[in-house]
Amino acid sequence: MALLTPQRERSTSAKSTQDSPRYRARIILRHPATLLGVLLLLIFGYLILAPVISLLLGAIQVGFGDEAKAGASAGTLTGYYLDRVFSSPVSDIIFYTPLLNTLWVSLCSMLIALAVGVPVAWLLVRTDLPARRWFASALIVPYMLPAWTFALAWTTIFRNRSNAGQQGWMETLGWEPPNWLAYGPVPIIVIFSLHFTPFVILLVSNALKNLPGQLDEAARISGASAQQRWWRVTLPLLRPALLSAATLMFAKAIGEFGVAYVLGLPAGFQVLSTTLHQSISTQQSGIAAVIAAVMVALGGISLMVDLRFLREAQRFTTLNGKATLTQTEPLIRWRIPALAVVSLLFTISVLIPLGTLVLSTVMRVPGDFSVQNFTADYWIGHDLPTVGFSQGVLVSAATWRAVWNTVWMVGLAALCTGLLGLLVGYVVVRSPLRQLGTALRVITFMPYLVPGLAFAVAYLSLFAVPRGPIPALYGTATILILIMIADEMPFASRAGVTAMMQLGAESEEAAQSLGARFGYRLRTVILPMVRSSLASATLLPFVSGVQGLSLVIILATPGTELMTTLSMTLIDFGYSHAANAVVVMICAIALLGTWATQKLFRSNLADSLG
Amino acid sequence: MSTTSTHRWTTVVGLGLSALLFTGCAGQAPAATTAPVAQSAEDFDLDQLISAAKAEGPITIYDSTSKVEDMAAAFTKAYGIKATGVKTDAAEAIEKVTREAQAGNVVGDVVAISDLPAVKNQLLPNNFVTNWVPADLAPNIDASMQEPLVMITDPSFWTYNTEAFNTCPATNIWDFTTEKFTKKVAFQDPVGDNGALDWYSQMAQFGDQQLRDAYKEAFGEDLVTDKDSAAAEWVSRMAANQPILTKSSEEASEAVGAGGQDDPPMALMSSAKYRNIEEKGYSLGVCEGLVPWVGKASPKSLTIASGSKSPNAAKLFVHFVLTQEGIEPQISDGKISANSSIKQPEDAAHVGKHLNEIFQFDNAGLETDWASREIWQDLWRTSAK
Repeated sequence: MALLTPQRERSTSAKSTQDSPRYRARIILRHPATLLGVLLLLIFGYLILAPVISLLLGAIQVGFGDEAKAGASAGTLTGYYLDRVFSSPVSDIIFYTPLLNTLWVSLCSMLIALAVGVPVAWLLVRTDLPARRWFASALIVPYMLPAWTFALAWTTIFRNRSNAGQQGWMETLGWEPPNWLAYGPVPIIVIFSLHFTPFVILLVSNALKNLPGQLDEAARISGASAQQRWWRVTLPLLRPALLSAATLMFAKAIGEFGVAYVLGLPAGFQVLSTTLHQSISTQQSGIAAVIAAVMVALGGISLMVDLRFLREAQRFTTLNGKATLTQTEPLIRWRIPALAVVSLLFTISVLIPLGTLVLSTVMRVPGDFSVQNFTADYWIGHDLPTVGFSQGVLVSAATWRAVWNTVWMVGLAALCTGLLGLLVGYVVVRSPLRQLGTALRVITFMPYLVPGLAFAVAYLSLFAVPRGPIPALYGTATILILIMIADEMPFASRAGVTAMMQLGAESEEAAQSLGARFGYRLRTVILPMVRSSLASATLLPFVSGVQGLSLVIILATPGTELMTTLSMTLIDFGYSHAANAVVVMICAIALLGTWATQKLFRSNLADSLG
Repeated sequence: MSTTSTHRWTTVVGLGLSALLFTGCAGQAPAATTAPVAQSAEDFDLDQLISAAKAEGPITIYDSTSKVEDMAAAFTKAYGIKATGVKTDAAEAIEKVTREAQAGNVVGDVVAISDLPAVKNQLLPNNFVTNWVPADLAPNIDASMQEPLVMITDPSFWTYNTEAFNTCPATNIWDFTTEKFTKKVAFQDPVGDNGALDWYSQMAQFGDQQLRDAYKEAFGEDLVTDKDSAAAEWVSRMAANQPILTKSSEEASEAVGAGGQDDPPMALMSSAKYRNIEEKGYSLGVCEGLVPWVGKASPKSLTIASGSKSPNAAKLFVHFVLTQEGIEPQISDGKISANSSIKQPEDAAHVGKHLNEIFQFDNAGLETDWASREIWQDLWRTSAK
């Protein structure tokens, strides 16, 4: 049955003396990767490009209800929004100051994360640090916690009288934290750094493991000291990894909203994402579009810088041969101090935030550490005085509905993302038409640069009504799954490309010459070989999907409540005990998912970064 | 054969891309539709409406509170017409109503939206929704609440901490602009909140004299200002007095009411937050006798989607929520029905007692509110220190 079709495909690998453009075109078109590529292009055009374009168009088109202000009818081109953002009396307040704040906060946190993450990665990979295997997993935990949980923990500990209300823990202990420590840029930078350090550790440890040992060995034999080898050999070789870590962090810091919202407002500290939120919540979609466009452009620029440096760096890294095992550096008398530093990092970035969160769910009044103030009611109690949520978190049906929704929706989305990522990788690596691969890579990376809030608004506009054969999706689980898929594509496609590059074409070609069709080859040859990569490519989307908030808060409806939206609903009601308990459960699910994937497929989070 | 297949591919890709561009544009540019249809019913017959409604299909209601689910259930119970309440906040509801009307696929038949300026200036003129006031109940509804029809108003009160103070530390709304209240007023961040901006605009249009009189009472002299209104002067001084900005009424209630505070701030907060006295042990009290108003009430409109497939059932629902039975779930925590014949139940903030001391919105100002939001936002931003 499969005998007839391979005839057509076989010409792909067959060498031919014919070299006319028409012949080339025929080869290109007959390769299954081309067809697949076009199909993917259509899918991502719909899921990513269309919302992004509709979002950006809002910056230059008169929005609905703004006819009088802009002096033109809705839908016509206008410079009104650009004017208001860039050159009006409030430009400074709504744009330039937040822009500067965004830039320096992102830069500072990026530098701190690098300064902490790189040495720690080195300690974990290259030295005889005690318990380094354990720390390698434990220090990654902050990356699995939503960044805004750190902000919640921070305010619980450090809040002061300038915000009135309940006392912070420091206050109950008799010390009132100064304003600069309680709110504003300092805590924001600290939290960003804590959140991004694991990312640096992941990327840099990966790079360190793959570095060729010979160069270091050669330097050692030539009598170079450990310090010299680090600065002159290892660090230059790490440059590509450092650069991509830096740009990825920078782009993420620009779009991060929750932390700046919780900690910035009391100090009047605005960043671009908070002004974006203000314009969205007052329905100034034109202004929002301009600000979103600037944020996309900033991310895009940093990415281009990264690519440029990478191209230069690649010339230099391709010199290496196969990696060999590198000797571990004995720390000798530095073993204990190094252990102390790493333990301190673990305490600050994992123990304190998670501990604060857990404690806040079992204390009636925050900060009162007497025994009678502790209770398990918020977890397992019944008939609590909080009318809107009168059951403990673990016994409430609403929680379990949200848990189930989160697990199946995020799980399905992550699986689709992983698969699509591998297919993108296949097209990028195998398609004879290079442009197809490049276009796919660029489009799938776009969501990384678009702030989640703005992306969700664009989705709402596009998919609230039926378009062509696709019915109205608002209020369904489908729209949530689609936007999660779109948003997680950046890393998934990177991971997919990496995985496919490591997979030789031989086995597939062998199957092809035996007459196996593309679909059959995909099922029986390609997918089984990349199973572990698929698990990795699924893991990161799952972890970040479980904790994602800004993306889903607009799109979730009562029927499709997720855990993050449930915790926000509880915060709106002012039920912070229950809200924090739900956040603790979110962390537990993310950790459990990671652990299970690691056990089942022996894959890890580092691989999913691509 | 090869040429045709190449050609076919180009066409497919081309079509795909143009489809993309099309959807891209359609996401933002709305099409204008026909002029609004005036609605009136001189010879109103409730029984006729009920029988017409029963002949129609089920309806869906959008409202920003989850209580809409109870209201829909009560409606179904009363008339046997299936109704589904969906909690949808104002911004979402506007977006959905607009897109549904454009696509001719109406899901929400009845929409309750608290953003009245948007309803008046965006949804009504484009005929996405229709205003309908039941003729038999119209005499009980203030004329300023009929275009668009107001379902309820949501009162907020100037509130103080009853544990720290025996009586309200302020007597006049201008007190909040003085040094005594520097950093001592919790205030919802107005640049992200349409409700606050519309309140300023309404005060400028309909409360100017009262604000000037209050100023004279507080400081013993006439207000001299280069601003357009007394409200603008008040807003500007408030912004400069470093208020504690909050993200929600809930945060404000904590800032004011949490126990063990020496010098807690005051705040304007929704009457619904007075339930925290019971739930969380907060100490909250209405600032009795504050001049010129102890609070304000923001309206929520109730309109019918113009393309509804069950227009009579939708009308019947509108009628239903203007009765004591229909609105009970919302007024029980302090909201006020637009139907003045409905009896206000007792609640934690004692709303019924303060009905005449609250600043009420007037629908006549909605165009100005809509047009001046950015102006108020900018005033706040440039005055804040």
